[in-house]
Amino acid sequence: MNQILLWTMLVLPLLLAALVVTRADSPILARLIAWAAFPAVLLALVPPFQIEVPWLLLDSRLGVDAMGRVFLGVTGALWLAAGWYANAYLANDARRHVFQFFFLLTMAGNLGVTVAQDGASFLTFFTLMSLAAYGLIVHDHRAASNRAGRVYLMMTIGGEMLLFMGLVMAFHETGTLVFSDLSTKLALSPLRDIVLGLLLAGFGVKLGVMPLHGWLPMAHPAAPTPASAVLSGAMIKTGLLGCLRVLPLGMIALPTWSDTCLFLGLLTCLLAALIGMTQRNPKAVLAYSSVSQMGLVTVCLGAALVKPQAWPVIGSALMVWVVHHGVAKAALFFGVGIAGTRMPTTAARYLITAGLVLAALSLAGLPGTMGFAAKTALKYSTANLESWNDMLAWLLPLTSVTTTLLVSRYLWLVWPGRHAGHGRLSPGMVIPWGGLSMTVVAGFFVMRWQTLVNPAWTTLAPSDLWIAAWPILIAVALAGTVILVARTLPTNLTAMLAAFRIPEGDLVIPLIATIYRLRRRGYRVTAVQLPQRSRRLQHALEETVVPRLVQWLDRMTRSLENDLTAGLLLVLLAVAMLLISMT
Amino acid sequence: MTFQQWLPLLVVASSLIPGSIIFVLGEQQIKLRTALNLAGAVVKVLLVAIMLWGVSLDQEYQVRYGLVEGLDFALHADALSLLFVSLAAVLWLLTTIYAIGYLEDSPHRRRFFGFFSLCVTATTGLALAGNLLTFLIFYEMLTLTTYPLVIHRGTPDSLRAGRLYLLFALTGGAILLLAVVWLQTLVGPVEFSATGILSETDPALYGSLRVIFAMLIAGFGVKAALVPLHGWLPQAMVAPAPVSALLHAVAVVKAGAFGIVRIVYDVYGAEFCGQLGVTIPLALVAALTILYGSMRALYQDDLKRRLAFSTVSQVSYIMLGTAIAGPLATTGGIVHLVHQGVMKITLFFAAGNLAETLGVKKVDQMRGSGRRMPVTMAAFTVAALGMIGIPPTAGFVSKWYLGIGAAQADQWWVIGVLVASSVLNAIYFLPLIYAAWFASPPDAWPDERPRGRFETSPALLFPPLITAVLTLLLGVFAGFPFSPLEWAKLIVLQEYAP
Repeated sequence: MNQILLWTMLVLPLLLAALVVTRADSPILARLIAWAAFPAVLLALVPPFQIEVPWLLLDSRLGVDAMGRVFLGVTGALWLAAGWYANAYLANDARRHVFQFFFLLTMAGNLGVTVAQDGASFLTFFTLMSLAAYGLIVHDHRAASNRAGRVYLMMTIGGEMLLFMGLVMAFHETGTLVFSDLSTKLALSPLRDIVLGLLLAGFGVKLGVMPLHGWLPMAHPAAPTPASAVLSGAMIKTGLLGCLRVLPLGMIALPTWSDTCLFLGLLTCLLAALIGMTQRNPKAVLAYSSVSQMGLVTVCLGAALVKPQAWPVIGSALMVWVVHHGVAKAALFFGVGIAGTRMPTTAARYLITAGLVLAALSLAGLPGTMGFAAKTALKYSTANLESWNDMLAWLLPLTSVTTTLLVSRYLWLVWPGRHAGHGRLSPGMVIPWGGLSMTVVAGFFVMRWQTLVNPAWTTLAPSDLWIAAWPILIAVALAGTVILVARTLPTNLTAMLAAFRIPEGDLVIPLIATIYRLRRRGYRVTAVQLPQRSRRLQHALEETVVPRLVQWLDRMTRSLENDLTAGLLLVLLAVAMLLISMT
Repeated sequence: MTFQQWLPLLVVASSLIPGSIIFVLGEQQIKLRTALNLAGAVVKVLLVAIMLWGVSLDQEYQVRYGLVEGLDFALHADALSLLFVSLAAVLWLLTTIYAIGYLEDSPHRRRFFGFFSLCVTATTGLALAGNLLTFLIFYEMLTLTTYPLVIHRGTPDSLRAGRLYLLFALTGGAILLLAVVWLQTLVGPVEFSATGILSETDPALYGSLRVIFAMLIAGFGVKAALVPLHGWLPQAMVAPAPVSALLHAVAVVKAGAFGIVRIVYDVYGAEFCGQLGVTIPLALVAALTILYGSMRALYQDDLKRRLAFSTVSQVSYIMLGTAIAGPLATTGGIVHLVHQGVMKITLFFAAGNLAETLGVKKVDQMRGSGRRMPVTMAAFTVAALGMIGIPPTAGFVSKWYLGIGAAQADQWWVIGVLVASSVLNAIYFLPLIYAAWFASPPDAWPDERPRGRFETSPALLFPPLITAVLTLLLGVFAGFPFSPLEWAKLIVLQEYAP
């Protein structure tokens, strides 16, 4: 039964994608597509199991495990919500079926990744997801979207190559692709550090860890809102899942990679928040916020590599993060589309504003939301990290401040009623958004009940409340001050400040320019200069060398064409015959 | 003679007889010619299927006659020859269907189909050849039968390409002949046998054997388009699309690659090659070819020319796998023999469809072609992704085995070559896919000729569709019994038998 559910989950989106190609305009199909991720949600509820599928790819293993289940549940729920939302959001889009096609393929890949238990099937689903998402990013065909798509594709292919190399080496070292074996055996391999470096870098591209984050802030604003929501909420987390699958977590400490993860994670978290605050597109702000939050996730990973004995705690902390960030970020992205519509009544506007603020503050760690649990979990995970202790003691609260500032920036940009809205507020959009916004709170109380989450993370002790609240208060005060000060500043100064902007994708922009310059030069050399040179060589051969050769042969043969040569040959022949007859 | 002896002969004859009859028929006896061609192709597929079944049950299929004292003509079906002959049979059937659609109403079809069948006869012959001499006979026959196909159009361009092809192929053939004669004088008749026959040779001869190896590789390398002997291949793409398709996927280029595989494994033996120290140079040449071909493909604006350079690069994966040696790399090389064929034939079919239906021949004319010809371009897309080595296509399976094989043989640099090649493949294929699907079509196509109610005539549409589906199936179901991968593993078991 569970197996049938598993196969349905994997095949259904692919089947629907095939149907979209043939009968694009069927309303029944549109409704089915909205439900395509439903089997995934069901599968997340069944007890863990694994099946062997030797005929699929390179001896595949598929199944649900304790960790994969959490990913599967969140991923399924977000795709389900996004499917509903997309139906309403793109109702008037003439190229809706194109979006649906890529949406379904990406979904199939993303859901597949969560149940893949071996390297080859993981890579296959991962690639399907990554490549199909390209179609979502460039959906509207604006120049900026196409550029974002190009950058995304370049980085994705680069990531794929790193993963390919990493997996090849991992297979060679361990003799298996089944993750449970692979990570254990990899811990003992002499090439461990290189292999893990390749794999971490490959997954880091998807996770958006600096300096591999460039595609994220470009792709999120480019994609239609429902696609950005799953991109940020579900897809970038497959990078994390990949890391969890291959790292020998809870077995050994890996000082090289733990330091790298901690350093890059903190850097990503702070820097991305700062760059994000300069953005003007709310989706770009959210994209940088995702980068920043994934920085914190990377810090957790780093912590697990410092003290393996703490892995059970850190592992469940990461699961809290996956749920929390997935839900909150998707709600915020959905909110961008909702806040931009015309509000029917003032009450509706207030309600929607309240929902947006709630999701935003959850990201900042407001007590009573899942964000609070995540933040406490982070604190528990990073306790006693030896040499990192002092730095984390003041950097982690700082990240809370920057996160709050960043979500304030988002709220400032989308605040309903600040701009003239356009489009109708349709229930198809409000219901998924409202559901996720409520889950931000409801999830917290669900976490309180169940045993997997450390109860300490969900108690609302007064001391914890204060620790969680003060960074938010500081940030709100700061944001208020900035707004007040900005009002009093002379206009030319604000204009000057406004001119100072960091483009979406920051470092990747000059990098891409360089690549294109190199490509043009490559073109000049290989397509213009080399053929020219080879033509010249050919010419030289045909004009000089070959005629001279022919002349020389000609002269040689002509010198033989006389009676003397013929006579000599005859004599030679006679002598030879004489010699033969004598022996 | 028993059935076991007849079968290899029948497989060869199933294209030889239709080919010979076609020459006798009139130009206008289209129906009979088509029927003969298709019947021959279907019979060949069936016979090969029987043989495949038999070989998997350890049946021996062999036939042999003495030509002169000490020189035998021998056909023999072993696992390796069956891999190649199945590929040839299946793709010949598809290409025949395609060619019938492609050449509809064009002149000289009798000549075309006649030589086409002979060309396949030569290919099956060399696939089944049981010794080096028989191989050589069919190899030369292949050169001569493909020449009329390359120059089929009769334009100055194609005549020039044909001349170049003959020049390269005949020179290569001559070198090969010399090498074979030399080898025979040293060790006697050279029979193909798993694990090779030379390992017992007197060490005093090692020097000569190295030189002979180089000559053999050079001779086969001409057809396999090893750099710097690849010059004829990009020129030969002026041939009609079905010819290019077969040329690049099975017949000529593959014959060269197959020859090299035979030399390394069944004449010299993989381990003996390593002992002689000839594998590393071969691997280096193959790696150079892979990178060079891809680099040149980057900047070709003629679609078929780009595909031709891509062939130069991709076929060398086979040689690379062969040269690295070690069971896993061998598996990768041998399985790529099939995978590259299926993928590349799809690309050429698709390119032919674009040229025939829309007059699109240049890369920059492909904009929006996906909307006009969705099935063709979907096939093209799948095959191109396969070339890059994207999972779950067949190309990924090849690349994976080459990669882990390189690791097994401690040749880590090869993984770098594979990755570099994949990136280059992505750089020259992805823009085509982008142009086809995401760019808007032009107001008018260069030379549009609607054919029937589909996007093009069914005979042109279904062959690429089938091979594209195969590209996916060979990857997704790589672990299925009788998949090329499983078959390649079987071959490797024999080659590395103690």
